[in-house]
Amino acid sequence: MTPTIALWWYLLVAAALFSIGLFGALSRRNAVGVLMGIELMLNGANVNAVAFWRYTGPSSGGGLTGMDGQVFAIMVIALAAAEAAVGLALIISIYRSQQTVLLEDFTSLHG
Amino acid sequence: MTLTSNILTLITFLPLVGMIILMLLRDDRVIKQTAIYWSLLPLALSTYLWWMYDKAAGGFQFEQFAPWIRLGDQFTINFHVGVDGFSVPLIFLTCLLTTISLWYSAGVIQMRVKEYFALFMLLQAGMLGVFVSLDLFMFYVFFEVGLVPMYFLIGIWGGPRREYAAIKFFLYTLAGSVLMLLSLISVVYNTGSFSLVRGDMVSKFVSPAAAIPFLSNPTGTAATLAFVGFLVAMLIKMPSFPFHTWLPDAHVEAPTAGSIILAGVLLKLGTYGMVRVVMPLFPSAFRAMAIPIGFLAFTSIVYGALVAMAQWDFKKLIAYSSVNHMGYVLLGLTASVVAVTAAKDGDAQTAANILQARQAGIDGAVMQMFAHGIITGALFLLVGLIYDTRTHERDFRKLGGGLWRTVPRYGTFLIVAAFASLGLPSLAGFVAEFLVFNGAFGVALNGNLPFLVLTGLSVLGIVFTAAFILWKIIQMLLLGPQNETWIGTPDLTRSEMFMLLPLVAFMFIYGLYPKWLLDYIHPTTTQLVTTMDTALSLPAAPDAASAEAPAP
Amino acid sequence: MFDIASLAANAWLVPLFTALAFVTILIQIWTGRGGRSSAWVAIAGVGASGLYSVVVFLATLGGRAEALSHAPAMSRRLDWLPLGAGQLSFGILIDPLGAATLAMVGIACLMIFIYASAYMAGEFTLYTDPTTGAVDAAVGRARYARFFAYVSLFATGMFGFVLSSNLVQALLFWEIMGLCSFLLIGFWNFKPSAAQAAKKAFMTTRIGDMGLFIGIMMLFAFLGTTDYDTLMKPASLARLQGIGSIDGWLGGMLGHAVHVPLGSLSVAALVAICLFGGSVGKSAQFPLHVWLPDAMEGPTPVSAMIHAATMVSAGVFLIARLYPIFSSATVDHPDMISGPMYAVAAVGALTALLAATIGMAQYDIKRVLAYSTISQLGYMVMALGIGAYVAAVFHLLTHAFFKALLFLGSGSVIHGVEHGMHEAHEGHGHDQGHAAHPAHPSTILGVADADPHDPQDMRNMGGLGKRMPLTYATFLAGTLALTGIPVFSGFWSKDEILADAFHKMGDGHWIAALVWVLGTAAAFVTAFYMARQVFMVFAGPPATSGAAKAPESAPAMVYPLVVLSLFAVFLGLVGVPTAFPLIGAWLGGNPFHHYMGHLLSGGSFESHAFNALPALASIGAAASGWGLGYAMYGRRPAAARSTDPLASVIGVPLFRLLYRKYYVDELYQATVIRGSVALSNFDSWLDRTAIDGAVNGAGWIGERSSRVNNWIDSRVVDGTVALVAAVSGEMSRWMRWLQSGRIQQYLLLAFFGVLIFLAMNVL
Repeated sequence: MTPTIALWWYLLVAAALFSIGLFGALSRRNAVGVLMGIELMLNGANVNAVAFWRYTGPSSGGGLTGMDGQVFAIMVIALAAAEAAVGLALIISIYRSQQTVLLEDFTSLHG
Repeated sequence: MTLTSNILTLITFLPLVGMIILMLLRDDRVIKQTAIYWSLLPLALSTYLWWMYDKAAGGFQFEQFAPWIRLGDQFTINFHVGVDGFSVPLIFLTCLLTTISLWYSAGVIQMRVKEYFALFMLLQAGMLGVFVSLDLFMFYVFFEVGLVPMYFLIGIWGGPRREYAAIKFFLYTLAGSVLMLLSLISVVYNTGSFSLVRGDMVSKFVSPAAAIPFLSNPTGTAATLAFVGFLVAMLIKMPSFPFHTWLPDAHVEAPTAGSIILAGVLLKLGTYGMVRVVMPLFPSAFRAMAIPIGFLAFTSIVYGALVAMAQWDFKKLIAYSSVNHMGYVLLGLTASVVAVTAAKDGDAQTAANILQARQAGIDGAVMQMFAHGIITGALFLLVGLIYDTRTHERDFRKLGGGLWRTVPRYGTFLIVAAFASLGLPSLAGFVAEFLVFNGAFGVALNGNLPFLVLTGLSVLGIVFTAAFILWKIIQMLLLGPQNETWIGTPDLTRSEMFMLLPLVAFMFIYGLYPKWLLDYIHPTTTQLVTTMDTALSLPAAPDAASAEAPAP
Repeated sequence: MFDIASLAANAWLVPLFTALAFVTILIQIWTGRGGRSSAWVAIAGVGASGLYSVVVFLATLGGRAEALSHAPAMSRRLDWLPLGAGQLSFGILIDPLGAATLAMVGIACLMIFIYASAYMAGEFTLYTDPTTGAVDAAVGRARYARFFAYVSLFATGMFGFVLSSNLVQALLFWEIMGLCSFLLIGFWNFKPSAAQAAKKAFMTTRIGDMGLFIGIMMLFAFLGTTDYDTLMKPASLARLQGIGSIDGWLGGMLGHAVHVPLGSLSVAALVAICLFGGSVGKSAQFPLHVWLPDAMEGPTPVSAMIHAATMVSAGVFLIARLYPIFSSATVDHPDMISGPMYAVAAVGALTALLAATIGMAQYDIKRVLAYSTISQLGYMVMALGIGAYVAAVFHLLTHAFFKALLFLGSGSVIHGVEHGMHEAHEGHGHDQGHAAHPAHPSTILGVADADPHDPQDMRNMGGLGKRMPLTYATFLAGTLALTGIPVFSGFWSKDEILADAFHKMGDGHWIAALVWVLGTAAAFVTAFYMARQVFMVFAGPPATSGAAKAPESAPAMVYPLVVLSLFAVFLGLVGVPTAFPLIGAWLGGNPFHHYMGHLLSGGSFESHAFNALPALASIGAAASGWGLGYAMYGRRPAAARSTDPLASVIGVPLFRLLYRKYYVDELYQATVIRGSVALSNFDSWLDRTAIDGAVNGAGWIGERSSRVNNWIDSRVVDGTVALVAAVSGEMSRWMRWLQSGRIQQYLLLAFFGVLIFLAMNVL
């Protein structure tokens, strides 16, 4: 079965998601916002992976033999969940000690 | 994977496991008890080892072999362990003295307990490793491992001049080790093998054909230099005159248990190295230099005894007596290689007598290692018992007078140990000295005048040894009117007697019936002599041995 | 039961009984149960051993002796250690020499033990608690028990030595005796003099032992064995002889002919002389005799043990046992005189006379006997030296009994005088026990005056014959035996030695002439000093109140004296020469000679025709000695006089020389002992300065050169390092602005970095 929607639509959506995420990650002052931006970027990449799998992978010929794209996506989702958990824990821990979640205040690692 | 097939690895590395366990513990009392009980494991295994060793078969037994480090295509350093009749008694001796030392230390060590007992375990592993190694590289590594803990034992828990003594001990023996390392490299490049199984020795894993001794040409510079390197390393460890001066300092400053191990086992590493490394590898070079080495042996015997006679410090006196006793070992070993011009060429009886003498020399030397270990171990323990907790006095002039009456049990143990050290027949030391002189005279009288002179003069050592032991230890300390300062000093407790009991028992057992020990040593000796004879390109059969050096 | 083979197979029981007694008493002491019972244990042990010894001896009688000599009864062997291709084995060897000695040791030891059980009772009250001063009975009991432990071990040593089948085994027991003599001479070691004497005995004998030790090593080197029965085989002896002269032997080693002093002696002779060294030490022959008189510091039963039954006899026994080696030059004629035998004979003869002369000028009752022992041992040694083997062994046996008797008798005297003194001066206790006799209070011309409290000084005695009749009678029997008065045992054995010497003299051996002359002279001197002793101790009025009140000793002490005196009187009758007038033939024609006169090597001794001349000479010497002694000491009490009668006859300087024992002790002190100590101090100094100095010097040089290195290190090497560090430091300072700590900045940089990377990839 050939999909009716062309591949580039998916890529467009994915690029948009990634760009929004990148903008959020670079521009938000709040650490939680940065984390959310990173989540968006990851999901953009996920969309790409699944789309490419569907259109250009070994399954495009009909049968669903290879699962690479799917596996990638699921792996990234799991990773994202872990990352979010660790990131939020870090932010809470920083908030407890510094009473702030603004990134410009955490510059203790400067050279 | 039975106990028997892994026993040597277990014995060697159990102390290391024990060290790690000790480091995890906190309470000093628990550490002390754990250390003592843990040390019973290798002791039990070494007893079992002795029991299981097939003395009739001889050769290396309980071997384990695994390639370890490959150096290019040519050389392989192997993990190769195995024991023969020389090492089995010494492994037992090491385990026994360690247990006794730990037991004694538990009563007197109050400072930095964890470090002390952990280091002791490391020391034990190092010593045992030397005795089980059949690979030159392993031998070297274990030879060095013992240095570090001993350095700290002297340097931290020692007497007033401990830093000086510790650094002297460390640097001196390290200097020897450097020479040994160079020689080791030379041996490996010249023979292509790290294996210590050579010639006619019996091993499961190394074929004798592959194991030729190092260059048997006595004029070869490489062989001679490599020989000298090993020899000096062993002479320092032994120690032999003139490399002995680290010993009195180390003994005087070391804590009692350190002295016991130092005299009882560490010195044996040097003499053991002679029979395990030097003699199978370099019989020709040894023979070429036998007279100078014999001279060192003679000097150690007589000079050691004379210097001991001049000491007033109990520990120093025993330290010098060790120089004297190790001289006997060196003399016996030298006797086994000395060239002789048999008085009657081709006479089967003469050849048999010479072969018998050469074997007796090695038998005596190895027996002396064991005997000296128990006797001097007991003597240092006795010094510790009177010094550490009772009188804090080691000077004969102040300690002396009627101690036998003041502390009768102590006196009884001391007089037995002293007479054993003096070489009284029916105690272990005599048998060793008898065999050593049997060997030395046996070869010398059959045709080596310089060696005969050295051996004849060495007999004086027996007289001087008797003199200083009777005069200083027995007459000044034990006999005579009671010294009133020490009246009321408590006698040995039950547990202190139990520490001494096994040592004294072995003095009697092997003095009265040495066959029990020599049955293990003698077959290995026979193999060693055969190995050396092969290397010297001599038929080993007694009827032809007399042809070994025609009259010049 | 009297089958010698099965008896021999179990003869290891003999030393075992006493060894068991030793161990039992040790356990008693260790558990605090030592005491009177320990003496019973010891007596039971030695009694069993003695009984077995006598049975073994009796089994060898009746014509079995000769067979036994050629094929000694050997029991099963015990491998002791592996040696060469074979084993060094211990075993039991019984031949007439061993069996007779064994019986002598057993009987003498039993008597001594019984005597000692009473004599040593003083121990019970001897020790006081150092803090309270009260009598410490526990210590006393333990000490009493310990004495019996030591003497049991001593007897074990002697039994084992006599039964040994090879020299190594013999050496083992030999040294056990050395140890026991050390412990027993130093038994009262709270006296510094006793501790000193013990050490001296052990050291002196050990010097001799070195000779024995080397001799054993030589036998191993040349023959590969020290088993007596192999050693004495003619083949072995011939092999030893075959090595040839010392010159030739050394030349063979060196590859060219050499000549050394005494190089014409055979190597076999050298072996024999080395072995003889052991006997010189143990049997207290000149010049190693010095320990024996000092050994009197031990309790009197110990003196009897050492002097009669055990230790000194062992030295003579050793020569007798190894006699074929000494005479191996003449295997077929064992009574010929070989090279080493000259040395043996000369040492013995010299010792016999010198020791006897010293004995003339001693005052200590036991010391006189000690020198007499040395002198009599000299007789035996010189007898062996001239090939008078049977006579020497005969004298060994008779001497053991009469000397044990004399020592125990003197102990009884001392005991009595001590008690007398104790009664006379209340509060002056058991004397041996007290810390030390004060040194003799003053010395006139180098000779000490009598210490009136010394119970051993003969000048404090006199008149004891009436106070102690049984002791007197037995002591007199012993003295008559010792001085060689006919019928008493000593006469027969001593006369046989002198007769043999006389006979050999006739064969033209100058050494035999020396032996005969010195031996006869010594017989005269012996009679003189023994007469002096008997008169000073037993005759005349008592010199002190102690002597006046001395009681006769306890029965346990006196009965052993009686038993021993029977032997002292009658034992000689077994060895009366066949041709001796009147009684010779009637007494069985010298059965002792037939019993003893065979060697393991196969030779046998012929008895010589009786010659009246040497017998008359020795009787004359003894009689004149007694006569002179009576003239000088018997008629007037010596103690009353200010100078010794002997001193006034021979002059004070000569008397002083004798009293001071020819200054041999002083000589050794000044040379050997002082020399060894000086050498040891020098070596110790050398060790500290030169050898350790070299080590420390090496350390110092290392430390100094390390300072130079340090300078180089800090300026040159470290400078380079510092330069590198400075450069990189500058660079890092410049770079650090990049590290702002702002996460988003890093993210941005990473983003641009990826972009650049992609761009480069695309382009």
